[in-house]
Amino acid sequence: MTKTILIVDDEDDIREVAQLALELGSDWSVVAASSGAEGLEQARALRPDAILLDVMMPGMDGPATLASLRDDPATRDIPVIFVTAKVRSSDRERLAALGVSAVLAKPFDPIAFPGQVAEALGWAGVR
Amino acid sequence: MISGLVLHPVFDPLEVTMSVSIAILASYAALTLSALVGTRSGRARLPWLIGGGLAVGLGIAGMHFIGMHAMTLPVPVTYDARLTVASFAIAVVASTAALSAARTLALRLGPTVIASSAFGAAVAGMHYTGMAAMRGPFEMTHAPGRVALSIAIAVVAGGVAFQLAHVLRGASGRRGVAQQLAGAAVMGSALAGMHFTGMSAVRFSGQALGVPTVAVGIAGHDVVFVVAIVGLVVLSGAILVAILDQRARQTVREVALANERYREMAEAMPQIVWTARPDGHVDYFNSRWFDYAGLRPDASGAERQTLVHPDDAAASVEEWKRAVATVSPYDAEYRIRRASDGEFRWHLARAVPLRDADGAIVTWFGTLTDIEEQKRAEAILRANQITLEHKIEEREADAERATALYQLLAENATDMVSTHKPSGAFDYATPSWIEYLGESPMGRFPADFSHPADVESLETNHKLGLQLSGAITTLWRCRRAEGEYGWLETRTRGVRNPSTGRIVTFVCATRDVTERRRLEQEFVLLHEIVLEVSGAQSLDDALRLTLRQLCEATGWSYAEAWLPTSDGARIERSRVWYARKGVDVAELTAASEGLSLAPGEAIVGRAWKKAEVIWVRDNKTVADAPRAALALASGFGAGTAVPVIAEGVVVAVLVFMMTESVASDQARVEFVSVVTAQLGALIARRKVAEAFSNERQFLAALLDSLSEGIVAVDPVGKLRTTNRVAREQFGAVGDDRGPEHAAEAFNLFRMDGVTRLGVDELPLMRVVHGEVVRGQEFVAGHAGEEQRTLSANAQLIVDDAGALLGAVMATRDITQNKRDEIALRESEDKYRQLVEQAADAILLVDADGRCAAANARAGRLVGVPPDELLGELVHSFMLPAASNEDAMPRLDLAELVAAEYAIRRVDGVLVPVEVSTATLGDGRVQIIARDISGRKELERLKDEFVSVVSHELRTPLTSIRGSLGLLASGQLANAPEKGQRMLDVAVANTDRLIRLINDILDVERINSGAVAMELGWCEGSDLARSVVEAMRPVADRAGVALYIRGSRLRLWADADRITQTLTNLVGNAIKFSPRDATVEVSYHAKDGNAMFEVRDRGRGIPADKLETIFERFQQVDASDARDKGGTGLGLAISRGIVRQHGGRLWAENRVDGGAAFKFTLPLRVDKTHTGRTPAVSVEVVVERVMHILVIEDDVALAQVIAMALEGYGFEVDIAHDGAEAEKRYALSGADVLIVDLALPDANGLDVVDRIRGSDSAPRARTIIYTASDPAPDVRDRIRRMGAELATKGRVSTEALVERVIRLIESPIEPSEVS
Repeated sequence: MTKTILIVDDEDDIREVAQLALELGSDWSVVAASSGAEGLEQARALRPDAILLDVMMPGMDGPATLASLRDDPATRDIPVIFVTAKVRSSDRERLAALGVSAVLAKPFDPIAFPGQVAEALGWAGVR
Repeated sequence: MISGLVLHPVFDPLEVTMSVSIAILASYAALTLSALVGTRSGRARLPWLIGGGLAVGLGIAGMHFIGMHAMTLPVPVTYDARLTVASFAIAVVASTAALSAARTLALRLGPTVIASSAFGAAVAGMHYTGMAAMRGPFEMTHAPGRVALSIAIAVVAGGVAFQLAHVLRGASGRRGVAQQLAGAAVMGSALAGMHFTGMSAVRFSGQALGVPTVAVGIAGHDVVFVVAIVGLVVLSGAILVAILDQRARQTVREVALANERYREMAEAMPQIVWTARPDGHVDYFNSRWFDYAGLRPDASGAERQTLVHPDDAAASVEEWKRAVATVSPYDAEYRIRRASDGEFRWHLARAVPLRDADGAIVTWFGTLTDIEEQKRAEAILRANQITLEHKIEEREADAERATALYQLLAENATDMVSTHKPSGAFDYATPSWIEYLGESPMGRFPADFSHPADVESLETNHKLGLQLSGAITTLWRCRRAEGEYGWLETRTRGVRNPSTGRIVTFVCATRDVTERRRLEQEFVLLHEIVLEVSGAQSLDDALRLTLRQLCEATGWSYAEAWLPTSDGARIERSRVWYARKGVDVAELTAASEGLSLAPGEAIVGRAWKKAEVIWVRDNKTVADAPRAALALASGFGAGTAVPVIAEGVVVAVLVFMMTESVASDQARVEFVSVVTAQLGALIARRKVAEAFSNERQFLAALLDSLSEGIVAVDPVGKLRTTNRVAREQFGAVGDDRGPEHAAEAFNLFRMDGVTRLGVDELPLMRVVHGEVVRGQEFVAGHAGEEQRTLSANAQLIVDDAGALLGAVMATRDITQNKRDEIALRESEDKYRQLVEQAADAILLVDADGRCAAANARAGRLVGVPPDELLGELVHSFMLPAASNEDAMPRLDLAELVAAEYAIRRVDGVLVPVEVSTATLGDGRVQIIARDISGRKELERLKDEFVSVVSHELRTPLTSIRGSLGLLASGQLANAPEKGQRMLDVAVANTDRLIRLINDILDVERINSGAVAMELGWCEGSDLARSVVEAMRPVADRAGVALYIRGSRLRLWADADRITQTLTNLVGNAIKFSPRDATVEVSYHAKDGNAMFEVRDRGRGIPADKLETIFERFQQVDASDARDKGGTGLGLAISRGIVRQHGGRLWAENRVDGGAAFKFTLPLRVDKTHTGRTPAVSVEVVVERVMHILVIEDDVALAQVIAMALEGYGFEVDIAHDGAEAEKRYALSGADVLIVDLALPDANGLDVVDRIRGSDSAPRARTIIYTASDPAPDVRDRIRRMGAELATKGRVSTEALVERVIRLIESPIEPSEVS
């Protein structure tokens, strides 16, 4: 069964590149949202198998979106991976402590990216 | 009277003894007083004589009556009063006579007989008169033999006693008293012997009464004792007075004696001798002067001057003044009238100054020699010589006659006369000359006979004689016939040929002045010795000087001094001796070293013992004495020992030795005696001075050893004593012009170092005036030079009776203390200031951890006044940085070293601080806490910035990396559209990355000032226009219209950077404007600044973001930048640029929506402007900000109008009714009024009238606008007040603004806008 993965990122180009990378490197179904609110909406609607969440976003940022996801029983159990350009280890530790499957760094290697996501989620099937 | 019965007297032994004692006392008094009377002369003698007579007379009478009382007769006895008194009188008168006669006592018979007879008369007369006064029942008969015997005893014993007294008079001291007592005993025995012999001569015959005792006598025992005591007292008093007087006179007498001998020498001189004080005042003449001048001794100088011949007076006085002024020998000839016959006689006056050891003149010694005879002889000789010369040419015979006459005259002159050829050779000499020389000097020269030392002066004077016309006096030594040199005084006068003027011959009158010279020299020498010896530092020095001077003066070969040993038992050869040059005394001195002699032994012992000069003319006569033999062996044939007597005691014996005795030595011995007498007197004086001086030296040394300066003054403030330290402190303490000059002389100032101390401020004067002076501080030393600060204590000096003797001041140099004090104070001040003004909190914490001190900053840090911190536990507000409030671990003060802590402010905020501590000597700890919240914040910001920058950089990088990674993997080889898309993404993000990097670099460099603004003159309109032109395409794309508005504005700015700023702002404005909106760029001058504004009609800026949007990456919304392709750094860069220009950039929200970004640039005077007008930028003047007051009750409308006007740089105030309008106008005035005709509380026109009425300034231009056409009367009124009318609804805001501008630029011109 094809897994669905939701990408939430306010940067159009990054979203596009990430989606393409995942599509090329796996057989997951990839959907994207350009803000926290949109991501939350899609998560409820699509019930994706995992969510890749940007941290720095205008309006509702990554942690806020995560909190909202966790507040909703429908989305509470969806594994979430933060993908962030933040580099300070303190920031990353703080993010990891919020209860996500992984904190992945930007920029990422588009070829290795699907494998990193799969590994963080404990999935197989990465090409 | 019953006769026939012989009454036998009985004698009381006690009273007899008493009477004998009184007799001895009376005798002692008589002898003592007789000696004293001898020392007095004239009237001064009389009281002594009478007093002495009374004392002795009473003594005799007392002895008699006590003697009488000692006798008891068996009958009552009374005395006849008159006879008793007569007996007393006889005793007194006769005693007086005896004393008077005894004063001249010598070993001569006459006075002795007179004195002893008078004494005998006194005693016997008294006795027998006293006996005659006896009245009683008896008759007295005298045995004539015994009476005679008694008188003889009185006379002889008296004579013997007086002689004895004379012999003993020289003796002094205890021995003298003993001898005098012996004499008195003899005389007293004589008295008693006479009395009792006289008594034994009496026979009392009469009838015995039954009771033979008691009532007998003049009176009872009491009276006897009264008489005895009165007698004793009177006698003792007389003796005491005599002894004291004798003591007192002793030194005076010796000094006087020495001076007398000194003067005697002057008196002995054959000519007139005089002395003068250094100032020229004559203070002594010998008696020859008074004999000659006939003046009294007290005659004044003016009186003396009248005796000088009127023709000579002026010259003589002049010459004397010159000599005194130049201290050079005085030599003048003048005529003085002789008293005896009124004749003016020529005198040669000469004087030489005598100097002391220091060369200061002490006295002038002068002589006045009668040269009348010489003068006369010269005159005659000269006259004849001239005659002779003439005659030679005429007639030989006359010449011979003249020669004969001349010779006759010359030979009769008292002087030796000679004539000399012009060469100086003798061509005539009187027989007296030839006799003097022992040969004829014809054809020879005076120099041939002269002492070699005088040849030069003879030749000099000879040359002078050839040139001068006056007389020349030459003093020289000439060899006599017998080979000795004698002193001659030769007066030479040249005789000139009247026609040729050449010297024809010299006429000389010569006088032998050897004796005069000798006396003069001795006198001068004596003076010099006395002067030199007075200056000697010790007895040895004085002796040494005396020995040398005397040897050189007398020509005696050798001299030595002997001094009595300290116990006075022997006399020792001292180390002081002197031998003239060439005299070998090695053997003598070697043998004499340490030799001592007993009194009377050898001539030294004899001179010592006898206190007189011992003179041995030939040592061979005493060759048995070992010293004489030794002297002989050393070649000394004669010698003399001269005692030096001081206060009647021989203090030294001077021994002189010479090869042989010559005749003149006797005179020299006398001379030496005079000198030693002076020496003795000097030593006596010096002994007293020395004792005093020792005391002073002790005191001086004591004072000098003190570390304080000591200055003592007398009651009037004259300096008396200073010590070493005082002299150092005050410099030359020699100045003693009194207290008025002290501050000036010693440079005493007040503590300011500039104002001199007044007299009343001097410590010593203050204490004299009764003030207490303790620790008075003042400054000594020149202003400007190094000054000393002194602290003075002063107190009065009073004697035991409380009389003021002066005042003494002790001064301590406290310069260093003062300096230290000032330095300490300065350092304390500095510390306090440092602490107070320190940017750091500074706390002083005691051992308990409580604050003992806190500075202002500490208080601010905690948020309380610093005082409130005192006593607080320091760890109640200072916490380790990591701890929270609950834990509050106690601060370990010792561990507080440059650690980070936090201070908890009263409001609970923790302020991070960096702490350093120092433990002070007293155990307290000083804590310096530096507020590092700024630093912490900066660190945080920096951290944040780095984080944000890295995030911002990673965002485009993520896209680039991702797109390129996918392309590179080849996975998109079969999907060209996707591949192309990825390439676009990569390119776009690369551009974004470049912009980002550029902006990041820019913002850093501009904000840090690393980029210099390239300033230049530029036009505001040019900048705005270029920006608008550049942005036009962007605006067009966004559907936004761009407008520019502004007046001329000349700027001093970096055109590129201002353009960049404006571009940024305009770009932002376009970005945030909806389609069809407008963006307006305006510029104008305001308050000396240029103001640029960029206004949009966008959504505005949330109030809390108005400031933060200028921070980096702080867009209102993070997505904004990316939406619009910005970097988030534009505003930060723009603010940096404006700030670098000295201006300000900020954002405002427009009331009517949209945002306005404004920035100012300071306007500068354009100095490149030339010409006569001030180089003030024209624009600045023109662009004066006009003030507009909008009076409109519709709030929205008022706001719209105001905004529009503000857009043109006007300042706009709004009033909503008439009352507010008046208030506003009163507050800030207005250039233009825009008035709604219908106001809620008033007619607009009335409001205008009220406003204008209150304003004396140029009338504010006014625009009245109405909602509808006004009534005609209202129009008229509007026109009359010079206002413009506008009608609402017909006039757009823009049009209104234009009218306002026109109104301002044009004169008032009422018109209507329809």
